[in-house]
Amino acid sequence: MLDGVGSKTRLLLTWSLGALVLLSAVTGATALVVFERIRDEESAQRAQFAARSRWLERIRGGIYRSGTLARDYFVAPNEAGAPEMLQELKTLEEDTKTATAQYADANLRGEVAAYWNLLDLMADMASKRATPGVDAYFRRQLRQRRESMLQIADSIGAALDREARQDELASSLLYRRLRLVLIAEIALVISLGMVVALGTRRRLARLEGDARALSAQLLQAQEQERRAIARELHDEIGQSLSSLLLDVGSAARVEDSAEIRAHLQSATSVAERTVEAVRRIALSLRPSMLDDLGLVPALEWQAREVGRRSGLDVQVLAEDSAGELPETHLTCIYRVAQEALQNCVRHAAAHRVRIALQKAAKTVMLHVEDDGRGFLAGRTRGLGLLGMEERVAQLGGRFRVQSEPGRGTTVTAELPL
Amino acid sequence: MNRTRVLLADDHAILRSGLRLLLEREPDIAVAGEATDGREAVDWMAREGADVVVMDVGMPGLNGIEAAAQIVRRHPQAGVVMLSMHSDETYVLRCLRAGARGYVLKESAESELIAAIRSVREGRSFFSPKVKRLLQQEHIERIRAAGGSDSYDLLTEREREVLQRIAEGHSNKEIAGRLCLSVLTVETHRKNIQEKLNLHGPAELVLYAVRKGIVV
Repeated sequence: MLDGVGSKTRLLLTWSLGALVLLSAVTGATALVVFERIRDEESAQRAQFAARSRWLERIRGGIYRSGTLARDYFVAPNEAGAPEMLQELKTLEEDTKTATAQYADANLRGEVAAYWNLLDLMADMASKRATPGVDAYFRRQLRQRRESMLQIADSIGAALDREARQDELASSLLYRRLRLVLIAEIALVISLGMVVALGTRRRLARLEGDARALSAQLLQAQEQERRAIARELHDEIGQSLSSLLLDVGSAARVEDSAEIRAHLQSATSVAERTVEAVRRIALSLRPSMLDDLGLVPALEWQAREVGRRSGLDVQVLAEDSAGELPETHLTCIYRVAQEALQNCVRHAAAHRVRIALQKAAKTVMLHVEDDGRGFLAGRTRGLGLLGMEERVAQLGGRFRVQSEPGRGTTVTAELPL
Repeated sequence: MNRTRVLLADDHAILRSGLRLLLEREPDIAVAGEATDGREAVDWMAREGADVVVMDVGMPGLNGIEAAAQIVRRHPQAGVVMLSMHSDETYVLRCLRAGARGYVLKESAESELIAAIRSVREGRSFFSPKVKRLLQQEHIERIRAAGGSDSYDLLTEREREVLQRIAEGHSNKEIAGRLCLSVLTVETHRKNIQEKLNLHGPAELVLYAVRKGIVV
């Protein structure tokens, strides 16, 4: 199968650009999602940290306040403000216990409970007026409890700080990973883009080279054709007309009527030959049949001529009405068929060629099929094939060559109407 | 006797004037008018009429073959002689199909056109000898290529006689009168001939007769 190089390039370009755009979109979307997730996680961590710090602060504050209250109370347990103090201590106890229940490890919770138990016991003793020795013992106990509790609270605070720092570290790690992934993806997109751009450039350069080579070949072919026509005009028509002039001039000069007749006879035969030469030259440029009789008779004539010259069996399968086409299509189809036939004669070593022309509502299709030796359609691209392709492409049609070594060749041209 | 009125249709003025000079030398022929393309020829025939139209094959606008077909359709009594550069059978067949009875090469118009006009005027066919020769030669080559088998051998004596008269331009009725047959029998012969020779329509019959050298 051989399709237009241009269309192949277009397809390739479309696909690779599409892939690039898709890749960029996926990369961007993934980055956004990951970023969002990290931010959510971070803010959750921050909120948790703030909550824990708050609880811890409440425990600490409660303990301090309770220490002061307890001291005041123990100094004068029977004074006027004592019941209020006791009441406030109770509230503080509730408060710190809620706080520890909400947020503290078992250690701290145990300590807090023991502290309050001790405090309760002391308050009880104080109201019963205990001995100063017992009092002093309790106070020592109380200080010890308080201090160890505050130590635990401090260590919890430190742990919280550590945790927060770890969270921060973790999210900065996540950020770094996100950055790396993003950089990698962008690098991938850029390098893929470069590959596509480079590939496209190389392909374009090849196409340009092909086009240049083709136009150079076409120019050369055109020049050769012109030279051949010029030579024929000069050699055949020019010489014939000169000899005609000689004959007529001589006839005008001589007296003898027999001699005059001889000159005129010679002139007649020269003129006949000239007519034939003009007809032949004109036919080689463009068969008048195409204009006088239409496409199908012209194809039939071409088939017969090629058959006569090469011994090929050329068949034309077409209704006359299939040839009723616009002038541009007429010429295109005729030239493609002509070139394909030439290829059959020159390269295919075929015995039989079938030319089929079908006209449908919106297209007209030409097939030229031979039983020759075929070729690798993807590889070989002569001037003839390129020329046919170009003609068809100019009318917005599709051109195909199907061939395999040993399997013959089919040339298809489909033109829109 | 009335002179034959001829319409000259050719897009080249120099050829038209040459033909006019040629025809006006004849006592029985008068050039009634000239047309520079097929359209003009058709219009002239509708307006003025003529006995014979001498028509160039290739003309701009409406070409000669199409114009001939239109004229024959509208004026069946008028004869058409095609003037052509081409001896190719594709041209000859198309002209015959269009209803032309004469086919003259431009290069030999000087010696043949008058005879062609007279034949066509009388309802007969005329082909340039060179065209006949080429067609016959091609036919012989084709038979040789096909291994020497010639479907003409399948025709009976009678059928050959009928074929010759068809090709000369006679109608079924004329042939029936000449050969003392019924029109129906001639029609049957015609059908059989076409079947045996694988021909379609009178134009191909005539072309075949020319190829065979039956039409002299």
